[in-house]
Amino acid sequence: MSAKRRVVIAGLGAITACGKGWEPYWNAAIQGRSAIVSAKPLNLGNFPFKNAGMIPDFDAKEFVENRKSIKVMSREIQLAVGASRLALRDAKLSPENYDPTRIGVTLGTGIINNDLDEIGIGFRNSLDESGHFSMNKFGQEGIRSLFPLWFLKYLPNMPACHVSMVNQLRGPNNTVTTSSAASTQAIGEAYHVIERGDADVMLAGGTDSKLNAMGISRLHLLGFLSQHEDAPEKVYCPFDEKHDGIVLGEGAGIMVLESLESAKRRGANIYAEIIGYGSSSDFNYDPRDADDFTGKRVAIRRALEDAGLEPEDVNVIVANGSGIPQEDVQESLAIQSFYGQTFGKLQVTAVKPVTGHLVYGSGSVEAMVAALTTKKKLIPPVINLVKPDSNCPLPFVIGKTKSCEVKVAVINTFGFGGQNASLVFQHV
Amino acid sequence: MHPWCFNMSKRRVVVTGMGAVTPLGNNLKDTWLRITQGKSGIGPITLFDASRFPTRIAGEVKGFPFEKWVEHDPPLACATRSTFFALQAAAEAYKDAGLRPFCVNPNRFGIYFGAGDSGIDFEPFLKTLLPSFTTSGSEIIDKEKYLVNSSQHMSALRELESQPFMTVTHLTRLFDIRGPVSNCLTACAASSQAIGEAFEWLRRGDADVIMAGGTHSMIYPMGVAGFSLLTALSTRNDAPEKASRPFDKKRNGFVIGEGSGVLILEDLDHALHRQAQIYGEIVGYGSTADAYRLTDMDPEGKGASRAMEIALEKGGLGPENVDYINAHGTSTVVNDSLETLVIKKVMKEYAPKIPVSSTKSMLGHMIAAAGGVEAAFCFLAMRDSILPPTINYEEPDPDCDLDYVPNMARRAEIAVTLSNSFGFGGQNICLAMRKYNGK
Repeated sequence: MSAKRRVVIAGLGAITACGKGWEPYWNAAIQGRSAIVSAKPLNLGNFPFKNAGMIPDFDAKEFVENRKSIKVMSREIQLAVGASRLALRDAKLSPENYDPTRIGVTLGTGIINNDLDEIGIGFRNSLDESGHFSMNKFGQEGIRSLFPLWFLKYLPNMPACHVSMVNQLRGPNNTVTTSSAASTQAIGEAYHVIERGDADVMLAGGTDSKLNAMGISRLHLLGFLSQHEDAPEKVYCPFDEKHDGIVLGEGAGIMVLESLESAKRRGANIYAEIIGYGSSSDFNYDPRDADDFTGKRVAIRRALEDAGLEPEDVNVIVANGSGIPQEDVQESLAIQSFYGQTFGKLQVTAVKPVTGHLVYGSGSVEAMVAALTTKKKLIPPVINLVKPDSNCPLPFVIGKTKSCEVKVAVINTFGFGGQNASLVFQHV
Repeated sequence: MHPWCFNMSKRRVVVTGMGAVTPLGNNLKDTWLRITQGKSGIGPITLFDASRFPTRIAGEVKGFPFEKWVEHDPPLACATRSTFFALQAAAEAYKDAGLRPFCVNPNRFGIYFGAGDSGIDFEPFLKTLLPSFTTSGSEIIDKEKYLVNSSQHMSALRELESQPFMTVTHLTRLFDIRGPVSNCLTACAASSQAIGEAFEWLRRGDADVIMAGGTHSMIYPMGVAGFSLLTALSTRNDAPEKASRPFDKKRNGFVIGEGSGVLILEDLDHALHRQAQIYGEIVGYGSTADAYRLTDMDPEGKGASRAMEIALEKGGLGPENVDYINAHGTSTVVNDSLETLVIKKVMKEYAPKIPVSSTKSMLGHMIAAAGGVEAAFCFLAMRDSILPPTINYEEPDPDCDLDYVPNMARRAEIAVTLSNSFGFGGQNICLAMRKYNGK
């Protein structure tokens, strides 16, 4: 009686630098094309931030009928709402054919950065005669000059709230904030929600845009940004001997998870089944310890155990591959630790160079790639990987897309503070 | 029959340890004593100069030993206020649960937290922002200047620590938690949701013991500014202790509180095996969304009442079983009347007889941390047979006509409790808890 319900992916929606929808993203991945371009349009002058995966032509009006509500949506929220609409459309679901109380939302986000011009007004109006900031003036005039609903644009739970409002989704609603592992983990948590029967359908994924002054400044301070000079489409090179950090992207990915029973009943197009989810923390997290891969290993192991599989059963790992040398090495050590002399049928790819690093949102689109490898029988290459770092001896897909049967695909994502999440997908 | 009724063979979840840091005390014992005495933890804001802010009061944590933690563990040097609260509450809960290394397998010890973010690092931000104003054009801030200035004035480590996940990173490190890990941030519902999701993890068998709860402090200039602009805060600045008055006719908004509440959730068999103390059992968790409007709650409270119904149903409970409800009870005009409506709808003819109280009347609203301490109060109410009061209840509101345990704690036998938490943006969480009677 207590058999767990099976959960499948029945729809995909993505908005990235490659375009709107999962198709342009997938096509770019299998064609080995990076959508990273020059960051000149961001007008950052001589600041050393040269390239990014920017979405050039996003207009929220295309996805949101109520124009007024766009004003209270930060870019992250707008992207999530857009991706949610695309995902529901792809799954052929609309409010007429679902029970809103049985559909929920789980997204991965984190701190949404303020628009500096928006809060800047409040601070400019808080300067005293000598040009110094006055807390008294801020309390009186500064606050009043801010947009009254400003605060609501930046609460981390707002993307999931707007997605629920725009699409009338009244089931469970959650927001996971575990750094770059957040979106992967959101998908894992949503899978559990359906498995235990709390919903029949969940919209799961995440959203992020760090292509703003506060976002760039933080990652720059942390020393994570690549300073590698080359043509924009060539700079981001995880696992290559030239890897030196991340190149930022922006975007949102939302997948429609559905109970197998419900998807079959309505004849849905099934991309893959989700059969395993594992999370962990780098419990002895010390950024100086380049060799400590145990936390990452545990997340992968836990996801495989959840799926009832052995490492030898895995055809593809869509690696975190952030391009931060230490993270790439740790991930390589973690993956290697499961295999002896030979990797067997395992192939490893990494797709962050396609869109740039989506940070909190990264797992949301990368999970789509993992699912699609099982459906399309294609494994995209690691873009810009020419000569792997000698500390990363993994069976990479290099050069061009590989065509082969994929029964089991795993995705890893690891956060900057030591959060790890892995998912296992299976061909249906 | 709902699908979850098929899963009656699932593992049972009990609470074996609790801890808190609140405006009424730096541990749960002191907090609970003052709660049962009906004391208020609200006072003037001292954390920054709020003397010209529309709201100048809050529930601050007092006399907290920050230095002790840093001395003990130098990597905490740049940790945020709310991370320290979480560590203290977690240490209390861990000890209270009788946990020691080797009595729980670290790989079966997980954490599901609702840690809030800590906002902008204000002083370095000012130093970065103020020299970055433009002199012409449509932009207010010159982004290139901002970036250059930030490299000089901001600290990488402090920026990293301000992210909401760092609390959990420290907790896993210090308590050797190597099981599954998550942090959710669903505004005012976060720590209740974390406890509910931890309950589901345990029922699924993903861990034997889980540290769950939340921590938050939003008593900083941008936090007070943000809530003020939403006209959500009480402006009763001249009478801080009277400002949080849930369900009272003269309520005019919530008061920001801060702190942390942490529970140790444990698989019943695991707890019995190690002969742990058992406060009670978590039996139900409901999570829904209003999907209504950004700034308003659904006027019929459909989502909130469904969350309560799901929690009851998962726990195999009906309205007739409920002995106490710890309300969300924020002291805003809308929440309290709507929550009353929701309780009446779900509890039907039993509603007038069920005591409902809001401990936010004493602590203020601890935002993401609120649900953690409120769940702890539910277990303590069951243990001590005491209903915590709603203080500052002076004038009845015709829209709020339940038994709010006005002003004075009251003795009562309590076997089943509910705790409501509703988030800004429409997340509704309800937890159902019951006394553990040895069976």
